[in-house]
Amino acid sequence: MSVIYIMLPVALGLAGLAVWGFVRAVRGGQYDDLDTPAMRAIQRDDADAVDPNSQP
Amino acid sequence: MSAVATRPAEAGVGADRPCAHCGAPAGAGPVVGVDGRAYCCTGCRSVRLMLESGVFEAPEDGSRLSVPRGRGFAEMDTSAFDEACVEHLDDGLRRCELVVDGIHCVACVTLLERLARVAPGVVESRVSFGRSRVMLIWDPGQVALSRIARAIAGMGYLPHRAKGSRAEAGRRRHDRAMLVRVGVAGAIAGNVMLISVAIYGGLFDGMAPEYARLFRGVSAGLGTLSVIWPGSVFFRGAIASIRTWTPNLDLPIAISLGVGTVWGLSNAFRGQGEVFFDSLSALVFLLLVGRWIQHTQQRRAASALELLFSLTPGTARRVGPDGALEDVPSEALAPGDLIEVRPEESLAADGVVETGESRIDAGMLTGESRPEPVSAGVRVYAGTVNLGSPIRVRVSCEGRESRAGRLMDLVARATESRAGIVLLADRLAGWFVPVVLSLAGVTFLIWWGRGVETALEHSTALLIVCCPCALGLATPMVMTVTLGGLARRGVLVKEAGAIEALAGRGRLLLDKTGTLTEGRFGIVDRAGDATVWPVVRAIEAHTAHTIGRAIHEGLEPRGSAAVDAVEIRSHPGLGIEGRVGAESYLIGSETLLQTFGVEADRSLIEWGRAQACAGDTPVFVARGGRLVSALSLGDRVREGGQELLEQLKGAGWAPEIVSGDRGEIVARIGELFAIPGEGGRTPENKVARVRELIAVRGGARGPGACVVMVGDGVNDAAALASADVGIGVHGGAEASLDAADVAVQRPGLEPIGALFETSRRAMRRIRLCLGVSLGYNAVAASLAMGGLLSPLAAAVLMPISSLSVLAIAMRPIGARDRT
Repeated sequence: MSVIYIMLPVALGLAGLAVWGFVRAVRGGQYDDLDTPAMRAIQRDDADAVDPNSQP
Repeated sequence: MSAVATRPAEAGVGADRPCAHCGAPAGAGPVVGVDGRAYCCTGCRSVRLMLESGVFEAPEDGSRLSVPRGRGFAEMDTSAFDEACVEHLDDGLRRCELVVDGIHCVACVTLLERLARVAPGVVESRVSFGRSRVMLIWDPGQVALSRIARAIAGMGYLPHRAKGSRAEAGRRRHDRAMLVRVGVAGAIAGNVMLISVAIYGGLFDGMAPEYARLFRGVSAGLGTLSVIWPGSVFFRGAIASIRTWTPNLDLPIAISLGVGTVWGLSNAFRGQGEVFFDSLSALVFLLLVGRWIQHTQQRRAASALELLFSLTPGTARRVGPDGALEDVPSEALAPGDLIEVRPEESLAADGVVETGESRIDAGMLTGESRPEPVSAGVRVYAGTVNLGSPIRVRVSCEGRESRAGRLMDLVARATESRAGIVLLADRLAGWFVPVVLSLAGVTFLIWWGRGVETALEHSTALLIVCCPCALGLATPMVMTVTLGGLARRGVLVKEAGAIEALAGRGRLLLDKTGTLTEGRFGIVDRAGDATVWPVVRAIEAHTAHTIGRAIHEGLEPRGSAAVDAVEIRSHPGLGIEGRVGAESYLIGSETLLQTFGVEADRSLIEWGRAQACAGDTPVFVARGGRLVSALSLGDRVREGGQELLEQLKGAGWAPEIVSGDRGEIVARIGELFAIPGEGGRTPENKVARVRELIAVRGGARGPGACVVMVGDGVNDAAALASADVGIGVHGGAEASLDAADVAVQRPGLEPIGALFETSRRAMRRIRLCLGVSLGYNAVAASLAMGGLLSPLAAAVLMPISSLSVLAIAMRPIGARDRT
C-alpha cells in the first residue's frame, strides 16, 4: 500500500500537467473562436489548381 | 447594416431555392448574381464568379482584386484612422481588425482568408466568423489598407472600421480568465472526487490511519486550492457587494465556501470530523460552469461604441472650401463642415440641409414609417438614410453629441445599470451548503449519546448523500437545452434569465413599425379592375421613386409574357404616365387625375379617400382616360399577430403598443389587434414608459411584474435595454439586436410565440428537476439523520440522483414545432 506515496503525487502531477496545458491553450487564444477553425478545415490548400466542376 | 453588398433581390425571386454554389437554402432574400442564379450570400456568389473567371490564377500584382466599385476607403490611410484602429507590430507590419458585413458561410471565410495568398503585401488574414471580423496583418511598404479594403469590397463584402477594439481586448482577457477558472475548477473537482472515493471506501473496510491522513490532507489541499484560485471570484464579488451594500448572489456562496473551507481544514488538521472538500470543489466547478454558459450567451451584447458604429457610417464626404470632395472619417468632422450625402447613403452627423431636396428615411430613429421630405433649412440626423437625390448638409454635431450618439449612451447606461435576473437555482444553491452543514451538526448532536463513532457515521452519511450536483446542474442543463433548441428555431437568447422572466406574466410593450407590421412600404389593399396590375408593374419598373418601387415589387408578375411599357413620363409629386400597346395609362394621386381631366369613378375615389383617412397612401390607375383601379400603400401588418396576442393575453401578459409613428395609424393597428396603444413616442419617451411601468410595480421583480419590450428599430434600442427583457425582432437594426436580451433571427411573429411557449416549458422542466433534487435531498437527509443510511449506501445513492436529474434535464424541450 505504501506505493500510494508515489502513485498519488504522480497522479496529481499528471493532472497538473493537463491543467497547465489547458491554461496555456486558453491564454494562447485557442479557445477564442470555436466556429471559424471548423470552417477553415475544409478549405483547400491547393486553390490555384481548383477545378470549378469539382466544387459542390 | 450594409445595403450595398447584401441587398436582397427583388421580392419573389426564388424563395427557398438552394444556393447555386453551396447548396444551402438561399432563404427569402437571396443574392442574385450577374448570371441570374440565386446564392445564399455574397461569398458564394463571389467564389463562384472567381472560380469561373480564374481570378486565383497567380495574380501578380493583385490588380484583379481591386474592383473599382463604390468607395475608395481613402480614410483608412489617414493618420487619424491609423491612430485609432491600427496596431504597429515590431517587425514593421501593421495589424488591424475590420468588421465585414456579409460573412455568412464557409465560402465567405475561405474567400476572405485567401486574401493573404492573392493580394501582395497582405501577410495574414484571419476571419472570426461569430463576430464578423477580419484580422489583417499587412506590410505598409507594399500595400495600403485602403487597397486591401477595396479588394474586400470587390469580393462583395463591405468593410468597416471596428470601433471600440480596446474594449474588445479587455473582453477577450475576461473570457479567457473565466475559461481557465472553469477548467482548473473542473480538474480539481474530479481529482478530489477520486480521492473521496478512497476516503469513503476506507470508512467501511478500514484504512490504516496514516493513509487516511494522507488522503484527507491531499483532499483538503486540493479543495482549498479550488476555493482560493477559481473560487476567488465569489469572494471578490462578495466584497464588492459588501462595499456597495447591494446584496448579490456571491455573498451567500462566498460565506458557505468560506465556512466550509475553514471547518474542513480544521477537521483535516485535527484529524477528526469530516472533510467535505469533494462537495466544495464540485460546488465551485458547477457554479462556474453555470456562469460560463450564461456568459457565452450574453457575450454578443456590444458596447455603446460598437452600437454607434453600426448606426452611423464611418466616413463622410466633406466638401472642401474649393468645392472639392474628400472622404474623411466621421470623427474628423467638425461643426460647420459641409458634407454631401448621396442617395442610399446614411448621414454621418446631425446637421441642417444646405442645398438640395430629398426624402429622408428616419425610421431607424423615430419609427415613422414614411420617408420625410427635406429641403434647405430642415434639420436632419445622423444615422438616417437619404432616399432621394444628393443633398449637402451643414454639420452641427457629430458622434456622441449627435442625437443617435446620445441615444446610444442611453442604451449603454441602461445595459450597465440593469441587474441580471437571478436564477432560481442560484438562489437555492447559495444556501445549500450552510443548510447541509448545520443539518450534519444537528445529526451529530442527536447521535452523540450513542457514542462519537455512531454520531460521526450518521453525519458523514448525510454529508455524502446530500449533493448539490443535481441542484447546480439542473438549471444550466435545462437552459442549455432550451437555448440550443431556440437557436435552431432562429431565436438567440443572450441572457438565460430572460427565459425565467418570459415564463411568468407581466406587461408587454410592442413597437409597431417593423414589429407588428413589416416596417416596409408595401401594397396594403387593391380595388377595381385587376387586369391592369401587370401593366402597372411594367410601368413602375421605370421609376426610382419609393412609391413606384414599392408598387413594382408588390405586384406579382403575371405569367411569362413580358409587358413592354413605352413613353414613360414621370410627373414629380403626382405620379407616372406610360403606354402599353395601344392604351395609355396614368398612375398616381388624385391630383394627377384632376390635372389630366380623367373621368373619375366615384366609388374608387371614395375608397381611396377612406384609405388616406386610415393613414395609407392611395394610388389610382387610369386607362385611356378612365379611372379603372386603385391600390393603397402602407405598412403591412404581419401575419399571425392576432393569434400571438390572443395566446399571450391568455398566458397573463398585458400588451400595449408604443410607437413613434403617427397617432391615427397606431390607433388603427391597436384596434385591429384589440390592444391599447399610443403613437408619437420618441425613443426617450419609450424609455420613460418602460421606466414608468417598472416604477409602478415598485422596482422589485416578481411574478406578474415583468416588463418586456419587443421592438426592432434603433429608436427602440434604449427601451429594449431598459426593460426587464428586451426582444429584438428580425430585420431590426443591429443596435437594437445588440441591446436586446433576445434576438429573433427569422421573419414573422411565429418565433416570438415559440419563445414564450418554450420559456414556460423550460421553467416547468427546471422546477421538476429542482423538485426531484430537493425531494431526494430531503428524503436522503432525513434517512441519514434517522440513522437509517450507511455511508456506503449514501455513496451509491449520490451519483444516481445526479444522473436521474440529468436525464430529466437533457430531454429536448418539446415546444410544438410549427416551422
